[in-house]
Amino acid sequence: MNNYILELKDVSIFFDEEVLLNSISMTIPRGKLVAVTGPSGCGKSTLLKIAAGLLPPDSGNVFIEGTDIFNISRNTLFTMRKHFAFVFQDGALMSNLTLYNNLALPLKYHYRLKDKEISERVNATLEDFGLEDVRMHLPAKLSIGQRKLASFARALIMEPKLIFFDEPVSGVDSLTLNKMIDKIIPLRDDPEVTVIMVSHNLEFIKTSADYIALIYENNLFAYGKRDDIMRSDDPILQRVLSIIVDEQEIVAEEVLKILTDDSI
Amino acid sequence: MARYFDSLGRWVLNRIENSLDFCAYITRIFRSLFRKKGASLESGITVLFKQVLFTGVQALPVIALVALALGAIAIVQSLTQLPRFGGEAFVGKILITVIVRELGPILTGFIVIGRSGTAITTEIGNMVVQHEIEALESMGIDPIRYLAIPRIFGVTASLVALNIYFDVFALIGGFLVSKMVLFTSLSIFLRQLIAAMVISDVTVSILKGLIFGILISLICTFRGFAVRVSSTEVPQQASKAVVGSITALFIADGIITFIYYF
Repeated sequence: MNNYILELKDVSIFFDEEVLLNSISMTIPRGKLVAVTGPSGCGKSTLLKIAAGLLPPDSGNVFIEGTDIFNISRNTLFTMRKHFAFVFQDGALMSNLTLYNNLALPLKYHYRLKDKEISERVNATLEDFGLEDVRMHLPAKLSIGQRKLASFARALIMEPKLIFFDEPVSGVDSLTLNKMIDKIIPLRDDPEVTVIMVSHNLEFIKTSADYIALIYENNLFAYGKRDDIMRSDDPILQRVLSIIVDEQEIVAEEVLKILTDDSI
Repeated sequence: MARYFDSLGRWVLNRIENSLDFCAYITRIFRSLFRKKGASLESGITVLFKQVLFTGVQALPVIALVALALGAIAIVQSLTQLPRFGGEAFVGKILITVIVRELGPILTGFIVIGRSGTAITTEIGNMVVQHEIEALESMGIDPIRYLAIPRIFGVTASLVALNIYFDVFALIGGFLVSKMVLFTSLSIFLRQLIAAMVISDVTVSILKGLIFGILISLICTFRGFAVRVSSTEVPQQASKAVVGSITALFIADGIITFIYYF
C-alpha cells in the first residue's frame, strides 16, 4: 500500500486570468492530520476543493489512492467518494431536510440498510455530537455552531478514510469549539483516517496538526512536519506566520470593538 | 459595423455554447439513469413523491378552474358563431379538437411551467448558491440522480395526468353551458362527443402531455444547475427557464401537429 493517500501534482488554477494557485505539488501521508494555512484570500479553500475533486484545476493532477480523480468518469468518482467526507465552512446541510434526514441521506443513498439500522446509526451519531434535541429541526432553525457540528456528524456517519475540513473552528462559540476539537483529535490519532484541514487558527493548528502546508502569494510556501515549520529559523516563514496571527488579532479586535460599542 | 458583427458573433457563440451544454446535460441524465453500479434510485423516490404532490395534486384546483372556464368559453363561442355558418353539427368536433388536442396540453403545460417549473429552477439554483449541490457531490451523491431524475419523472407523470384531468373538466364546463343554454341532456352531449372523438385525439393529447412534461422538466432543472455562484443569478435563470419552456412547448406542439396532419 502506498504511504500517501493523496497527491497533488503541479496544480494551478486561474480566476479571470489571474493566478490563484500556482503549480502546487504536495503529498498527504496516510493517517495524518495536515493543516493548510495562509493569509486570507491565498486560495486555501480552493486548494481543498480541488484536492477533494469538487473543483477541477486548470492544469495539474490530483491522485487519491493512486487514482487520477479528474481523469475518471463522474460515476466512478461518486462511488469513490463514499469513502471521503467534506465538512463545509457553512455546514451546507440540505435546507429542506431535517437534521435527522440530513444524516440519513448518505446512508440511504449508498447502502441498502433497513430503516431500523439507519435510525440506530443516525441517533447514535446525533447523541455523540450532542444534537439529539434538535434532530427534527430544519437547518435554518439551527445555530451556526450546531450547523457545523451537524455537517461534521454527517461526514463521520459514513466512516470515511479521508476527511476534508474547511475552517472547522472559525466563527464558533467556545462550547462548539471544544466539541469540535474533542472530535478532531481522535481522528488525528486514528491511523486509518487522514484529515486535511484548512484553518486560520494557528493555536489550533499547533496543538492538532501533524503536518503544516503554508500557502502564500499563490504558492506552496512551506510544507513539512508541524515542529519543523513552527520552529523554523527562516525569517520569511516566520513573517508569513505572523501575518496570519496579525489577521486573527485584527478580526478579534474588530469583533471586540463591535461588541463593546454602545452606539451600535 | 464591426461592433454589430462582434455582438452578433457573441450572441451566436453563446447560443451554440448553451445548446451544447444542454446536450451534455441530457447525456448526463441518460448516463445517471442507466448507471448500473452503486446507488439505486430508491433514495430519490421521496423526492419524486414530493414532486408529484406539488406539481400534480396541489395543482388540481387551479387546473379545474381554468379548464371549466375554457370549456364554457369554447362552447359559448361555438354556439354563437357556428350557427351563422350552419355548422351546429360541428360543435362536438370543435370542442374535441380545440380542448383535447390543442389547448388542453398547452394550457396545462403553461400552468405547470408557472407553478412547478419556476419552483424547480429556483430551488436547485438556491441549492447551488448555498453549496448544497457541492455537499451532495462530496458525499458521492449524484445530484442528477438524486435531484433531477425524480423531478423529470414527477413532472412528466403529473403533466400527463393533469392534461387528462384538464380535458375532462373542460368538457364538463362545456356541458354545463350547453345544459344551461340549450338544455342538452348529458347523454346527448356525451353521444355527440363520442361521435366526434377518434382514438388519435386522445393519443395525440397524451403524447403532447408526455413530451411537454419531459421538455419542461429538462429545461427547468438544467436552468437550476446553470446557476454558478450568486443568488442574483437565480431569478435570471428562472426567467430563462420560463421563456425556454414556452418556446419549446410551441415548437414541439407545432411539430406534433404537423406530423399528425401530414
